[in-house]
Amino acid sequence: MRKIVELPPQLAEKIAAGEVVNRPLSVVKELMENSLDAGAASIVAEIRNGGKSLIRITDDGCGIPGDQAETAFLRHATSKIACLADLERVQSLGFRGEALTSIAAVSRLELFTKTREEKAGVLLRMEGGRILEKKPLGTADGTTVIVSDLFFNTPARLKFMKADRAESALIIDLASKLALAYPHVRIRMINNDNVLFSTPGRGDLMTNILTIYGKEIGEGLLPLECRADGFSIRGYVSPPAKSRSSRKNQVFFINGRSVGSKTLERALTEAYRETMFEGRYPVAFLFVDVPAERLDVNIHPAKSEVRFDDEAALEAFAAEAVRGVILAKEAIPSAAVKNPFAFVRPGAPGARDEADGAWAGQDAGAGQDGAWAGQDAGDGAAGGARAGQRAGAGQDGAGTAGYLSGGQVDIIKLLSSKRAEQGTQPPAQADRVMEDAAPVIASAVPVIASAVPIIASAAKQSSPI
Amino acid sequence: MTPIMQQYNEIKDRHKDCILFFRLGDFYEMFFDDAHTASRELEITLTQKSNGNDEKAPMCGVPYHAADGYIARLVEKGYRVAICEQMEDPALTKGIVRREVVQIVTPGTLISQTMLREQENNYLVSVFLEEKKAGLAFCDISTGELYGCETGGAGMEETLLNELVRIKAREVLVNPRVEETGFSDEIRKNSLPCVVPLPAERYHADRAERAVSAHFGATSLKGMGLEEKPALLLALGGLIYYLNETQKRALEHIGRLRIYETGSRMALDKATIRNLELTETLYDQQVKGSLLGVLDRTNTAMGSRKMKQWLREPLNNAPDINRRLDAVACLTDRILLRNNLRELLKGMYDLERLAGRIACGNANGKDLVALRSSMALLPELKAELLSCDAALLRELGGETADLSEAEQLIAAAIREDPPFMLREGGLIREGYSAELDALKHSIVDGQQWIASLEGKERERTGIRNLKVGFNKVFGYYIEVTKSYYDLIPEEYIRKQTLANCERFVTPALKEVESVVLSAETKINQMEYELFTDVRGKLLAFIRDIQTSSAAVAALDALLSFAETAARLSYVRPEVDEGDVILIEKGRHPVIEQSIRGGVFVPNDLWMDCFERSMLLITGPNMAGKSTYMRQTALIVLMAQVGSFVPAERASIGVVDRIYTRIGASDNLTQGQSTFYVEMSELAYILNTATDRSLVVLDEIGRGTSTYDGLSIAWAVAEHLCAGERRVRTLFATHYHELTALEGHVRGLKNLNVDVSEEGGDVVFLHKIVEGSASRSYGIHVAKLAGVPKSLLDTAETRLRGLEQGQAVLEAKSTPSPSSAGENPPRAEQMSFFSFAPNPVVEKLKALDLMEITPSKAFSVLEELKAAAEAE
Repeated sequence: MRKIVELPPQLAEKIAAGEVVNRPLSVVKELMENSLDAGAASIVAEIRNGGKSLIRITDDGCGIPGDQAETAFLRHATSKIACLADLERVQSLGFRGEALTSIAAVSRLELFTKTREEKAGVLLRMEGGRILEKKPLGTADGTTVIVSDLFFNTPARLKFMKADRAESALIIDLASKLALAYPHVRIRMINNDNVLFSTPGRGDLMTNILTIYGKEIGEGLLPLECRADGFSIRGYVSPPAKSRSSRKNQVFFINGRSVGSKTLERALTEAYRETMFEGRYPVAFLFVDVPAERLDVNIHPAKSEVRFDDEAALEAFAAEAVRGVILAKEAIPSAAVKNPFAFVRPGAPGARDEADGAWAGQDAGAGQDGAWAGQDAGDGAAGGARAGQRAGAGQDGAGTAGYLSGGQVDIIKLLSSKRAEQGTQPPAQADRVMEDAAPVIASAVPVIASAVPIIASAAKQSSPI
Repeated sequence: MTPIMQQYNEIKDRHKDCILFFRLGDFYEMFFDDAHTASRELEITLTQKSNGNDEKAPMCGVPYHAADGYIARLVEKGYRVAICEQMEDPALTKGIVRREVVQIVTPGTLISQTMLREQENNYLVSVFLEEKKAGLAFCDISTGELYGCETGGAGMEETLLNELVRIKAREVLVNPRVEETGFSDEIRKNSLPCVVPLPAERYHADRAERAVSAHFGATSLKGMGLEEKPALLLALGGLIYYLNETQKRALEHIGRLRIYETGSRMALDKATIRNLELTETLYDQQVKGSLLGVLDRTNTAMGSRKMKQWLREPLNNAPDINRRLDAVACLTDRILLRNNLRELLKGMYDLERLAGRIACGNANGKDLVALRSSMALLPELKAELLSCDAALLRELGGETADLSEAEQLIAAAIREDPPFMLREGGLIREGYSAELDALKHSIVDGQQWIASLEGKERERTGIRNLKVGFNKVFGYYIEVTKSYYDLIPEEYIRKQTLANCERFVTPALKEVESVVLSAETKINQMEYELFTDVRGKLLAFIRDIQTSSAAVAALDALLSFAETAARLSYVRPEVDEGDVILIEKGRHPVIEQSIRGGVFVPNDLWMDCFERSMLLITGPNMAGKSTYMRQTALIVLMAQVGSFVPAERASIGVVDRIYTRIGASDNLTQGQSTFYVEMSELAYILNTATDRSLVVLDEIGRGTSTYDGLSIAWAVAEHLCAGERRVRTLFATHYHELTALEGHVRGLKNLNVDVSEEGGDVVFLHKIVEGSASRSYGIHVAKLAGVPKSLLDTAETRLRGLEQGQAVLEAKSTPSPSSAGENPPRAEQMSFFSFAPNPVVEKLKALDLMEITPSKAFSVLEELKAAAEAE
């Protein structure tokens, strides 16, 4: 049996580093968060080969005083918290005091930094955690960290990294999210000498969304802002007509921190339940703020998950807020289009007759709470939509326009007649309607769904969403 | 001599200065000397042709369909090529076919796509030089642009040269005086290759008037602005004559003469265009690494050319500049608009050059389709532009013409995917010409008839394996195998016998055949005629196409400015007609992108025409002086072109000229030393700078002795600071002595590149600060450069000695073998304000007269006399 000995410090460093820094993404995240904590007004992130050969983060923040440059690289050294009370009230993004040490331990690193007050800045060159050179240098105010040859001294980890494209995709995603969370900071992302995006730092979230994600995603998003019980939520969501095939474009921030959140995912699903197919997802950029004491950020090494003390309340709040926005958009006038489409599904609790305004529905057993909209190949209908409330809320609603059923329905005609009346249907939306079946269904839906508030108010039964 | 050779000689006589491409069938042939030249330059085989006499004429040729490439190569080498075509169809003429020269291809008159560089204009320039005045007219035949100006007075020739370099002339026509005064040599020196002297008769006023009026179809020249510009008129006359001579056709697309004043734009002399690396780098003439490389994100070739024009011709009045800036600001703010416009522009082809090709009769089917798809995008473009806040963008929208008629014409007539060739059919869409369609149907009918013939004849004759076939020799035939010979009907005419079958024709068959075959030729011919007809009809729209394409090009350039500004975090400069140039945290647009392993340090600048007109910058080399000055010039230029600038804030008082005198450029090959070149450039600057100019001087006075250089630099500083309103100048110098001028010369302020000496290590901070530098750090720079340590140590010692004023003595006390007995010659030169103390004086000072004996005094006197004589 081998003797039990303490690991040599260098080796211990490498191992500990591996926890914090396990791929280029981690490096970029830590460095960019440092820049933000330093109060930067502008950050440039540049990578090559997915970050494996080069990562450069340049900021114009407060910089590090020359005599503290080396200390920064000591493990557990940080300027961001000093006592337990600080940790509980942590405002900054970084606080563990581990990032720089870990990064330096597994790469060749150059640090250029200068504070506003000092005349000269300092250059620190390190390799595998060892300081090779430290000298004064003329450089701009702020800090630049250049990380080359990541994992050059841990070949095993080197092999673990994915292809360039995969690694860069993660980094670009991170930079995008930071840019959204910090619209007052100019953030530029450069990949292999290509400027991918450069946000203007004017504080406008929509501009940033358009700059980063482009017209496809950004055009037509609905703004959202809502407060209750100490929660607040704001951001943009897509109108129900616009759906995507994955959750990729759902971006969540809790207290300014970009996180994954099953809670918010569920909230979205709930909000769009009547208006979007299963398997289709809305675009959403949501910023949720909760009281700091109720949020635990220290649960995940990469800080990408957080825990809230009352998930259910958060979910309900978010779903309600989003739903309010997407349903309000398709407010229809009370134009009484005669409803030729009666659909009565025998025996279903939500069954209605003509006079009330029918639920769109379909034969295929769709469950208790009103039928699902869907293609009904059988009778050639273009499909119907699932209308709002859970069936429990019985309605005696007034007739509203646009009912779809298993009968002979010509949605196109329906919508165009509605459009002719209203004159307010945005043309783009209508055009899209004409093109594709799915969006046809989806956009017909709000027509029905809008009936809900009218019905609900008429029935004076509001069930929580 | 054979008639054909006679014809050749006749034509060649008229074009002695060109290489004559003589069309013979499918080839262009060259004879005699031309053949030798071509064979050598193009590396093709030299052969012979009988001349009619006993001798054979040397000959070489190229196939007609591949001629463009060969012509291009010859033109590239500076030759002019005359193209002589057959004007009649050989099949229809008796005797020799009539031939004529249809075009002379010269470097300045290229039209063919293969020979043009897409992103650059190709200018032909005509210069008319008189004693006091000069006229300059130039055009790009491929786009139809035509410009002219007249200039005179002091520095006239220099101004002309600057213009020629600025527009990158490809071919320059000159009047005899230009050769006589040696100005043509100057032109050639500035790497403008082709200078073509025209005879003096071409430059008569009435001839010029007639030529110009004829070209523009005007009865008089009133209203064209040429009344007060006789020199320009003559230059224009020469230009038009030459165009007619070489193109031999009407050039309607060269429709508008744009007269400009050399003073209506910010003037850039050729040194500045080169030194600031506006459109290409100094050392390897690449776009990447130049200002254009950073700014050019245009989507069309026309946009790229327009941006080059703008960079070489910045504006110099604030209202126009602000109009452009408003447009760029509008595009920067509205991302969706920017994206939309970019998508539209991506789909546009080079409208300008397409218009040129149509006007010159060169456009083919694909060109017309490209034109159509580009025109189709115009209405949407127009709508977007008209909805903008910025006035300039709305104006560009207004200039976009309605070309729906032309679009429909092409859509109706030309097929979607036509071939390149014009005479092989496949061009015209069905439905455009009833006659053509009928012909095509007749072919189809005929072919169907022939196809059904097989079935019919089999039935009729009972020959079950009767076949109908086709070959090139006999055409269509009916083939019957031996076994059925008895069933052959009478009307079959036997044509061919083979081993196991025989082939026959019938009159009916032959008739149909002739219809089908001749129809094909007729169709090709008719399609060609219809095509040229459509092309001709499009001429009516040329003007509209040109104005639209000019608008699109300008939009593309503005869009490119906006893109770059958004990506690289540029800021809108405040431009006014004042004097102040104020830049906060300015950056060098090219260097900040290319810097590696470090960070670019931004710097501020503040200057005006009064108290801070001359910024005297001292400090170590390699520490950022040149970068600072260049970035200032570039930022001012960018602002005046209408682009945003790399800074936190910038306020620019409009500048009418930027002069730069940077670097040591030897023109040794032309017998001019560095100093001479420097002095001549300096002379030009001092003679022509106004109080609205910006002058950038980097190290004046190198290349000559220290005293001379210093005196000249001193005088230059005083000269530029003389007067009520002073010339804004950035003056970097290695003469620290000049820093003493601050406070004595009004307007002069010292700046230096900050250096920090921490722990014996010298650190260049790259920061420009007020005040004068304390030292030059030359030795430190030498150390960084890798000069051997022993040499550096010696230098240090010498330096300390000089600083303490012991030049001569120190040198003598450390003898080196090679220099024993030599006087160190330069010791005197090095000191200025503080002289090395005179040893004689020192000795005298050291004498104690009270203690000295007379005889000792006499020997001391002897020593002193000897020492004094030795100096």
